[in-house]
Amino acid sequence: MEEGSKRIEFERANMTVIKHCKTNEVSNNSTIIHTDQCTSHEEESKVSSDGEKERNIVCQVDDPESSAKSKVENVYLLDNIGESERDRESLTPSEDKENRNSSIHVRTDHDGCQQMEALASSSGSQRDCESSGVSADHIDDEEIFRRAREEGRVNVVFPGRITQEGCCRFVCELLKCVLYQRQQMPMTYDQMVFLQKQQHNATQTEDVIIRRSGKTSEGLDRRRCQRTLQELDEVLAHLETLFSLSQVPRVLFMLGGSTILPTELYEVNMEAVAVGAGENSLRTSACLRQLFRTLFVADLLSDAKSVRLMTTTVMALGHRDCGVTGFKPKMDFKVPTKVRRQVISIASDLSLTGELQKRKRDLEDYIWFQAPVTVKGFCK
Amino acid sequence: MSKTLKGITLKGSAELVAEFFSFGINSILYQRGIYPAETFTRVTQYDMSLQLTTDAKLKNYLTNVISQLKEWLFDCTVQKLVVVITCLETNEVLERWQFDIECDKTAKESSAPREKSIKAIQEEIRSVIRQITATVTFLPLLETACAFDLLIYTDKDLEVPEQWEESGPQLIDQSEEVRLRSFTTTIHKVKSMVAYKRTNST
Repeated sequence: MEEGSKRIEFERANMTVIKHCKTNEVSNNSTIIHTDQCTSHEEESKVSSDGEKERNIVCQVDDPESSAKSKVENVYLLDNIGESERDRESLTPSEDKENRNSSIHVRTDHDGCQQMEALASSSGSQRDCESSGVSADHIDDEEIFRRAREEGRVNVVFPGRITQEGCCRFVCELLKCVLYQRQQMPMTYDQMVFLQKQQHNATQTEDVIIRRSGKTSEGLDRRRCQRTLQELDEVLAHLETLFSLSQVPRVLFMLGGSTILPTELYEVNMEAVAVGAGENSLRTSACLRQLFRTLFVADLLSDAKSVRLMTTTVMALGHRDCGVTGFKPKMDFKVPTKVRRQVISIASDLSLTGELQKRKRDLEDYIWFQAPVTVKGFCK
Repeated sequence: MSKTLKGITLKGSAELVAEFFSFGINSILYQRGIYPAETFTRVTQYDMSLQLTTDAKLKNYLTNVISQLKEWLFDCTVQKLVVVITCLETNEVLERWQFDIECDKTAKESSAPREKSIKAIQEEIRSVIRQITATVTFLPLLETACAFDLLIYTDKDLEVPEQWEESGPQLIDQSEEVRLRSFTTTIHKVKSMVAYKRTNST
């Protein structure tokens, strides 16, 4: 607050803060125009509301220590996880740069775990890092940005285990995010779903003319929107199925080009995630927030330049015997090396929970699978 | 409109920046759920799909503010625009979108257009607006009914128009901040950031 007070004094010395006066039509305190919470909150809460009723609905993976029947092996931590991030340097604001190189600063140092919002959980089956008394390390935002720029890598470390469903959610939400930020969709997935519903309701009663033209009054190509949404929904469904059958340590999003030489390549690396269930795992919604905040600060995906429309292919590393039917095994697939790979690395640090760190397990029994559906971008 | 394909004037810059704020504020109100989604209509701007309010009162309010803002941008007397989101019940400030505006006042003395294309500027603006949308993925849920205020920081000696009044900065107690991208017309530079209330309880 001291810093805030100093700021106020400085600002008041040089400028005046004003706001538009109240009118008779608005509230009697100010020009505040307000309303109740709206539908878009429902969209917004899709990312995090599941925390309220979170459980392993997808995961069929048992902890190998408690069940001999599981086909799936635990993912063990890397030995060198400690080198990922431990910096707690004092944060100093840095000068902002031009659009492409805008630097990031955080005014207040904070415990990264604290930003994991403790959403009410009816089941109480999962814990927040707050309630456990464990604090996650906070990485300097500037360091996150620097590493993303120089190494093409974003590291996110969680102070505990993640559920298998959580891992699936990470991948699905990241796919939606990549498609929007890389300009393969003119709006977010949630907005597209909302729009689809609106259009469906409208065509129930009228709008034959609009239907014929294939475009909405705002110029959106209805059919292409529907197609992209359908393709994306199929990919997401296939991912859910795969995650229900196998650990998935790595996922690739390949945009444009071919699977041998894509135009853009993004990897979600979860080799260092410790998978857990129930009370032993962190709340996915809170982890998602931390993940996306870190990704945002890293500024890995946004681009001032226009990005052309491309087709996106998803590859995932799964157990060779998982029995998945949608995803197709690609025994000869090799991760492209001639294109810059942007990596979003997600890991668990179990040292904070007092658990033993295990050695990384060999992924010899894991092969690459390709999603049977690709997602074609559209702009409007 | 004083914008050419290859250059931009002070007036054109003020218009572009004011236009950004119009769409940017609408985006914030939509994304943060301050107004119901169904009170917005989708339009295409900056080659992307954006939301604009259809609420008559809100439209009128924003039109007045943006119109005045454009004048101040042209005069180079505005320093910041802040969108403050408060809890309706407690009046606690929950979120604060701050846009710092730097103006090259030498543009007032010379009418020669600056060499930066509108297309390039709009591309930069587009990436900022995409970031505004992206913040939804990590900003804390606004679980209570909220109101918003628009604050404008002007030069100290500026005469405050009749429909405006002085205000405090409405800062957030115990905040977390994230900076967004900036954009520049070479005459006006806009830096964006969002501050939000920390959500830790222990």
